[in-house]
Amino acid sequence: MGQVIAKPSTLRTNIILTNKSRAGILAFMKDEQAFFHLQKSFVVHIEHVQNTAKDEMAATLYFGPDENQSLSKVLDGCVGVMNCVVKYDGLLATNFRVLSSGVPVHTNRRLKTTIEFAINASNTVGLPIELHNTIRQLPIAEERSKYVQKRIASWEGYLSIQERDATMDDFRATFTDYKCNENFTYMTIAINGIKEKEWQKVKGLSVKIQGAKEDLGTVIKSNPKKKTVEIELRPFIQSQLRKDKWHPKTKELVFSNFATLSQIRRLRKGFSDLEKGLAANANLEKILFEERPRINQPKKKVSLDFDNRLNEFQREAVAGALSAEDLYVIQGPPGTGKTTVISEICQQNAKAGLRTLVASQSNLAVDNALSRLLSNKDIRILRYGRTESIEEEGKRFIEENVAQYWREQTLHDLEEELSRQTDNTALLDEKIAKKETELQGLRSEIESLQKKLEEQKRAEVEVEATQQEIKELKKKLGALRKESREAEERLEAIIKQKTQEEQQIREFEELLGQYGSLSHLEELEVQKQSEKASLQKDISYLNNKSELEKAEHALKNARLAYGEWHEKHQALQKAQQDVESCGKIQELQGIMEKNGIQPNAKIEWQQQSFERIQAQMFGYTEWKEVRERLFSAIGYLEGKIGPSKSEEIQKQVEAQAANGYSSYAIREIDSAIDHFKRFLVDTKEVYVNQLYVYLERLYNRRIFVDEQFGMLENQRQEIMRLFHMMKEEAASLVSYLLNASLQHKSSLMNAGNRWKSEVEQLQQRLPDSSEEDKELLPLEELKEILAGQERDLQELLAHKQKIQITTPKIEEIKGQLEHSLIEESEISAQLAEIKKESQKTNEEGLAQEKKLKALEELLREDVTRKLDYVKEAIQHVEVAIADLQHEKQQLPIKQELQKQWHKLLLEASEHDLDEIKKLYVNHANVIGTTCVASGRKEFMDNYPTFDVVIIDEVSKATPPELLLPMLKGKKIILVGDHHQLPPLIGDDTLEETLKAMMEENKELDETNELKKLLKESLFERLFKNLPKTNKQMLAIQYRMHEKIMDTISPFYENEDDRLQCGLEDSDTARDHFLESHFVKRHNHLLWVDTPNEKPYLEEQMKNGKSRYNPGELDIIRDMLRDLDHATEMAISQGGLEAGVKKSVGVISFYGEQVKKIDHLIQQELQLPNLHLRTGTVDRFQGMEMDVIIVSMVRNATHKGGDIGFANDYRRLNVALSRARELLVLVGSTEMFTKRAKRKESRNMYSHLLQVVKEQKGWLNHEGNPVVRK
Amino acid sequence: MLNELEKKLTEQVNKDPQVKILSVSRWCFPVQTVECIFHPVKRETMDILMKMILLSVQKAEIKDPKELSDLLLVEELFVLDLLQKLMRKGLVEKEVYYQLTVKGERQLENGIYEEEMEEETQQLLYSATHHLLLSGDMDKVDRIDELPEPFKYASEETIDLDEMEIIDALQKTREMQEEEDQDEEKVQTFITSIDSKKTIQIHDVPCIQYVLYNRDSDLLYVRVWNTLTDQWDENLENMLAAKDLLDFRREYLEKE
Repeated sequence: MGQVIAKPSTLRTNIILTNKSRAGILAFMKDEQAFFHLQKSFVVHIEHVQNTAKDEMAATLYFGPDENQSLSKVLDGCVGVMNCVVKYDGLLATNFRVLSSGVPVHTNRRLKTTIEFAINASNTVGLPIELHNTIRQLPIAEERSKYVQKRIASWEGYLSIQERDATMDDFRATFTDYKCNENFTYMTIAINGIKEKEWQKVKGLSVKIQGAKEDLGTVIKSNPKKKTVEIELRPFIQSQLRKDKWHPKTKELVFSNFATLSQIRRLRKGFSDLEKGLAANANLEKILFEERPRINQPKKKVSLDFDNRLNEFQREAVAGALSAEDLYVIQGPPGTGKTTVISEICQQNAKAGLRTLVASQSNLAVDNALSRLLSNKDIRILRYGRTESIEEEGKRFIEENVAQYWREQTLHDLEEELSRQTDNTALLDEKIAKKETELQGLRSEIESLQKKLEEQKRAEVEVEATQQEIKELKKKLGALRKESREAEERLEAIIKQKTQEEQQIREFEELLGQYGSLSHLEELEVQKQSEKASLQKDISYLNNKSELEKAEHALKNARLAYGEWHEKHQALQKAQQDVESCGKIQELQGIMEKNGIQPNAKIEWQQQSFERIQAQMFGYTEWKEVRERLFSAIGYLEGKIGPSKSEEIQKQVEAQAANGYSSYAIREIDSAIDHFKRFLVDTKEVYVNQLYVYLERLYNRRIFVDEQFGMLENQRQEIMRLFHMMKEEAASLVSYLLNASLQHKSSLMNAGNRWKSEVEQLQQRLPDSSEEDKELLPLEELKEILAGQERDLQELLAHKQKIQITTPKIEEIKGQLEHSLIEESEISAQLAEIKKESQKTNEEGLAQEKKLKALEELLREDVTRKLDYVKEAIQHVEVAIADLQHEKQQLPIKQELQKQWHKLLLEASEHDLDEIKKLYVNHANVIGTTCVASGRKEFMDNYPTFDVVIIDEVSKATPPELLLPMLKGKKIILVGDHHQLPPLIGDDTLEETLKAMMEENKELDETNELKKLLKESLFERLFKNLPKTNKQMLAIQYRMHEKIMDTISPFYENEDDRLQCGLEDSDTARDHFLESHFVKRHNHLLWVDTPNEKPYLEEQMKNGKSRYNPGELDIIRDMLRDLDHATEMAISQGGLEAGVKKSVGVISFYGEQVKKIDHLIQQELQLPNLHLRTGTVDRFQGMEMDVIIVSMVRNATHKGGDIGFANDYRRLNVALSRARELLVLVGSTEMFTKRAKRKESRNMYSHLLQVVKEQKGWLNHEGNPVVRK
Repeated sequence: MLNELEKKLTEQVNKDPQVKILSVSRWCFPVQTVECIFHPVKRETMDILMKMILLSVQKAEIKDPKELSDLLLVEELFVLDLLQKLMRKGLVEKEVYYQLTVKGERQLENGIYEEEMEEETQQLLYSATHHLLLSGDMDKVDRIDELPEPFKYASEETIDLDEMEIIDALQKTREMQEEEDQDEEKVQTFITSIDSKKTIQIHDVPCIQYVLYNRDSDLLYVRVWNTLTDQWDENLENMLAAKDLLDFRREYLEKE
């Protein structure tokens, strides 16, 4: 068998030694050269070490003794450790020392590799980059350890719980007396000499007689008052007692907690192994401690052939588990076939050559899982553990029994094989015959192939000839094509010529035909000429006439224009005079407007100035008038007063005026004058002096008036000046216009004269009007006619010329045409000939091509190769036949051997089985054990790692317990159900233990952590946080009747899949066939309700904390009798087979009640038709029975009453899900649905009662249906 | 003799003050002496799988381990292990087929050499009531002169145990004897089949039955001392508990 061994990649590196490391090495060898040459290469485990120098890496190299044998001899079997700094020129060893041989060299943080060390200083090997890189990529081991240390501290609480009483020394006691129970399983011993403290701790300890080899057993109860302990005895002691052979030599007992301590030690070692990186899967720490477990993506889903019949969820789970890389989690509610899934995974692993560990918290679960594995040669199961704690189902697989198991299996297989022997001979003959037929077929194929080969040879020659021929034909065809092309060209030319000639002749004859003859044509010509002349004459007359009309019209216009001008000119002359005479500006404007004289810029400016000043001259006339009145009044006064006095007054006034200034309105002046006049009129006698005053007043006013008037007068003069200037300007404008007008006059005169002479001339040119005044067509038409005539004439002339030229040539053309026709027919004939020839050649060529193709086809087939194949096939068949014949020849020998083997196996001795056992154990591939046992040293040594670790009932184990098997798995598969019960510690639930711990020591750090874990177990956290690819819930249950399942469905409502019933027809599959007082055939769920009164109330034993309920016991007694009887009836009526026993489990939330039930069953009842089992709900997890009776116990009337353990939905879930056919609850509905303290609990039990009611299963304590409104 | 025994047992039972003896009775159950005749064989202790491999290699033409695995219906891994071991030891070599070396031939010859020994006879004790072979000193029982009345559930059916079970018992007895006079290391004797077996005698084995009551725990139970096996007989106790316990209760307790 050529095994392929991967070539180990050896790295070669330089090594440099410091003095210290050299000294370390020299302690073992004379010189370092020799040391590194001990082996050509060394297997080392490299660890990446934290280094203080930032830019340098450090590594530690571990040399394992097993892998380095020569080195190991020198190191005395120890592990070599070399500290190094990783340099580019090699490894710099800083220290070398050894560790004891037991220290593990392989961890998941170290890299295992083979290294060849070059020690020579002058060596230029250096350090391979590859090595540098791989070290760099390694995790720094200390960091990982610290990480684990930190996280795992939170699990310490579990160990603290167990260690609570464990850290103590052994202690001794003397005993006087002992007594055994009825079947020697327990012993009660009265002891002396242990302290009060020790009494508290004695429970759970192992006991032995001082000096004896074997333990007696374990203390399960202690009674300090009576000074007795009760011991559960080991089987060996039990049998000694039965024989009355247990006679201890001393009366001294030793109590020891060795078992507990060693268990805790194992758990703690699990912690440190994880910390040291000894987990088979390096990813384990991240799976356990990261909030979201970090897992590697599963590889592609494998497709599988399943050995068991699986439903979709189970298939999904198996396929998922096999595809997963690190971790797969399966949630299995009650009865959903977890064990089938586990068994299938084991089988698939075995097929793939993998080794599987099946671990569980309890022995029962391990045995259960192993017993379901199919008997199959691929699977070699080994059950590891203490024989006495292994259940019957698992015992077949314990080390001492496996050989026997194997022997039975092999015998069975052999017998089957031997029974087939005659068939085998026939089968072989048949096979040989078949092969021979095949051989014949192959041989005839050879013949036909050889014939074909010859044909091919012939064809090869033919091909060549044909190809030659084709070539020539192609050549000929080429020549013909050329010829044909030339002929076609010639023909084309001839036809073209012919057409031309025909055209010429046709045209000539047509032309001649148009006129009849040449002379006729000439006559026509003369006629046309004369018509043309007459037309031309008419046209010239009409032209002259129209010109005259035009000239006369122009003349008339010229005369009219002159008349207009004359009028305008006269108007201008008048305007000239008007301007000179005009006195007002409005007048001037009117003149200008009237004669269309545009005012130029100068006039416009003057006009604007005029208007502005005129506006300022407001009141000129008034001032002028008032001045005149004033002057006349003054004149009057001066006259009266006399000049000298007047002059004096005037001077006086003028002097005053020079000093001041007075202003007066016109009205005031008027009234001053009027005042004076009235004075003159009214005063009869006027004194001169009185007049002085008036004069003075008037003088004063005259100064102001003079001033005012002077100003206005100036403005008036300015206006006048402006008006004058405007007039002058207007005048000059008019005279300019007059000059222009005069010039226009002469041009008008000239035009008139010109048109006058034109008219005269034209009148002369026109013939006598009377003669020419005939009807004529309009001029334009005439012109058109003339043009038409001219065109006709021209055509006529052209025709004439053509006829004259062509007439002599026409005969010649006709001769040519005749010639062309002959030539055409000749060439056509020639062409047809060529075409025919070409076609023939072409056909010939095609035929040849076809032939060639066929030949080539024939040649293409690789007959030689086929021939080789067939020859090879023949060889194979011949070998096969030889083999078969060999087999046939061997068959009797082998059969003989098998018979012999069968005989030997039958007679196998202890020794034989022992040898087989060794082989079996060596090659065992499914190993079952409990979690804690998987941490035993012996087991660790034998089975350090597994390809796959499956842990069942995960939710029942504490994380430290789970860690032990997990450490060993490259892949881990967890199976559990977090809706069922959490771990027990000893006999107590975690809750109880925690409560006890907190009472003892409230400061305990771990309690918080534990509380958290209580809320959400490791399993639950993993299941919730893993991606879909790494988990599966099994959602089809096969255990319970559908109606029983309804009671637990609510617990799984929040999962991805609803819990379904896989039974096709529950009523058929889970028919209990029972018909009794309590139970009707159709009942599958009953609640026997007890009243909230004595004797149905809970009670407590004097010195125990557990509870019992006497009333419920009575009901259970009646119920069991009833069931036993009903079973008997069912058998007699044929519903159940004779000898069948109904399996009935009676369970309770309380241990004390279970004890009472046990007593009841053992002592008071004889139930031959029932197979009974009792236990607490917690202990019943994982089991199933046909009928389950749940005694609920709690029932109290006082206010403090509650339902205790029954509050936990997980406990209720377990209790409800044990029954296959019938579930009977016995307890007070009042207590559980109404009086329970917690609201959730009341709701939970109310829902349960609702389901019971719906199924008409609510009975009173006498077993009659409860009827309520 | 039985009186003495009863006295001793009563004393023992009475050690527990809570236990009250409700009744003591004596009865007998039948034990058959079954005589088996067989021819043991003597052979060297070469284990059978190795022997079969050597034999197969010698007689058949075996090319590879798979063939051998198919022939013997034994896991290929096992075959591979053993073949390697045999080749290492120089017992087997391989050219085209595996074959034995001279050394191998010699070893095999020794291994399969079986010497049929002289006919032997051995007697076994069988209780149909127990449906078991019992071991004990019948001579001692025979010396008891009293003979109480027969046990109500006694059975005298002839032995119908599996032959393997009987051979095992015979073999064990032989081995115990051989251990005493073992000189040769590697040679052992084996019983491969039983030539004949027949019941040659029926003994009556007296028993003392106690019906006990533990007042403390209201527990009624039965103890039966078997004078052949010289111990409290669990089988008989269980049989009585299952069949008579309620009657006992009725008889002894309800009267009070």
